[in-house]
Amino acid sequence: MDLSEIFRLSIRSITRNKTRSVLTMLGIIIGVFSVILLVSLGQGLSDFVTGQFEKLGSNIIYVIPGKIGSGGFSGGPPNFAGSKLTLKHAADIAKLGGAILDAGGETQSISAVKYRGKSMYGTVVGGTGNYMRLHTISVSAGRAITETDVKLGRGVAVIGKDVITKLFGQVNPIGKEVIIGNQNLTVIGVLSDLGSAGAIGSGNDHSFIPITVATKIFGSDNLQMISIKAVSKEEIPTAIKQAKKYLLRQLKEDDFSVMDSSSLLSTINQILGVLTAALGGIAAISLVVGGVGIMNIMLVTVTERTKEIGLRKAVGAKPKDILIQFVIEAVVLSVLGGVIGILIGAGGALAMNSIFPTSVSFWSVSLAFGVSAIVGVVFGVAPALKASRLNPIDALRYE
Amino acid sequence: MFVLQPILKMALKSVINLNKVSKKYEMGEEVHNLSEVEQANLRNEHIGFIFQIFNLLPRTSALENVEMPLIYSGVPKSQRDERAIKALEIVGLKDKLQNKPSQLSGGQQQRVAIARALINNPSLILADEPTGNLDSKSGEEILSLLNRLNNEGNTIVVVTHDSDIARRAKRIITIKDGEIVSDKK
Repeated sequence: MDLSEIFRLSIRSITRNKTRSVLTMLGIIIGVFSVILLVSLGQGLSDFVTGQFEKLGSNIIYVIPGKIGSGGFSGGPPNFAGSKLTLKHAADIAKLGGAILDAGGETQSISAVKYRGKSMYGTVVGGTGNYMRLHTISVSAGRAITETDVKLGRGVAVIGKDVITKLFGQVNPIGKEVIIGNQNLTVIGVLSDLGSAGAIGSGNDHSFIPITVATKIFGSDNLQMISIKAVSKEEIPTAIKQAKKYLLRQLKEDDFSVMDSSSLLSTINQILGVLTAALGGIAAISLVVGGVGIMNIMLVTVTERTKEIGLRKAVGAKPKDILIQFVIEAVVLSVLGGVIGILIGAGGALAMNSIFPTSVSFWSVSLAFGVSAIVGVVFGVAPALKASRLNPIDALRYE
Repeated sequence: MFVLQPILKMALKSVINLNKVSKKYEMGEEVHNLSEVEQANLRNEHIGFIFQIFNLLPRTSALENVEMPLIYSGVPKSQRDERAIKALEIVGLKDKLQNKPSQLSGGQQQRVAIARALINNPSLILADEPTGNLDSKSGEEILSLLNRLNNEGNTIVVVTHDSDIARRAKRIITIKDGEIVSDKK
């Protein structure tokens, strides 16, 4: 019995019970759809983060509170709340010289920015005077925050495009007073467009304020991060060594981690990878459930078609012929479901791309396809075996 | 009514000269000792079945019903069609090729089943009460068809309780409780 004949048979029996076939496939469709979508989201997020890091420039070294192991967050997540990094550390590191060109500190928080009854939530970053320069953040109007602003604790703010649109509309914001936390701050500049990433938020909802003002608003003197600029890319390892040596004299080894953007990036991607795998794994459970659905319906089909099986055997079908026929039927069901799931999942991921970065990868599609085919085989074999073992006489007389 | 397997065993053991069936199956060989695959091949190549309740696949055309045994002997589609059309022509249903069983009368359904039994040129056709589910007129049609096929050289074993049907056979073997009680030519 040739395969094309078997395929024809299974397609026919699937189309004969359309509603039942669609409902059976639904399990696989949903499973594949969620695997594709979630993996695409994880992949997209990872691509996005990588892109953002590439924009930051590569000569920057970060000091983060808490211990981060070299193999990811084996020592626990960054300990922002219990940070022991201070402005003095940042200032001292900046003066170390050698491979270190400059250093600045920051602390940030999500906070409301208010203007005349209107308010907008965004990221408020308190930075040292050199912060904007270090991170090559420029202003499109007005001026940036200076060392003097920080030293005197001036109530000034440089705000992002989105904040301005929301709070000021067409009004020129320079010189106006906004309220952040309990402080009145004068807008002195507008940030250049920092690019948008949809739902993740963008740099355009940021507001920069002097760190000395931020510590008053947030009620904490500690820094969440110290950024160090190395003299050149080649000097990054030396700069890291210098910074570590200095910090070890001030703090315990567990209190801080020093990493450059590439190792920070790999750490973040590692987390995202684990997250993606975990989400994909959870979604994959629904694939198994879908497979059980297929097995269930195939068992029903075998019982229903006992007479047909008996007849086929009476006219010369071998057990193998019957086995293959029912396995193929299960595989066609699950692969069809898989293909529909892939189309919907990939379509959904692409449609979401405007609000959330997604990336449909070839491997996730081929994996989903392969898994759905395997699900069909695995869950199709038991009912098919049952069918192939039927005694032709008993089967023919089955009512 | 007899169970098919004892009939088959009986037929092969004592009624039919098995050397005529196939060199592969010797006289007196017990078919239930054959492997499942051998049994399937035997049924496929050498025996045509006609059942009391027709046993056609529902929602499947007459043509495809008749073709079914050929699928399992690996005959390609074009040849299958050709041979099935020929078989349906023999039973007088050439104009009903695409009809589904539900669109055929009982007598026509049984003729489709006969065409299916004929398709592989079997050495033996086993008919189990072939007119049991038919009215007398259709039954008569089926019996004359079987008589005709028999006269054309097909070996047909009909199992029946009806002595009128039995009288139309060239040889009558009477079986009671599994034992042969008489054998008349």
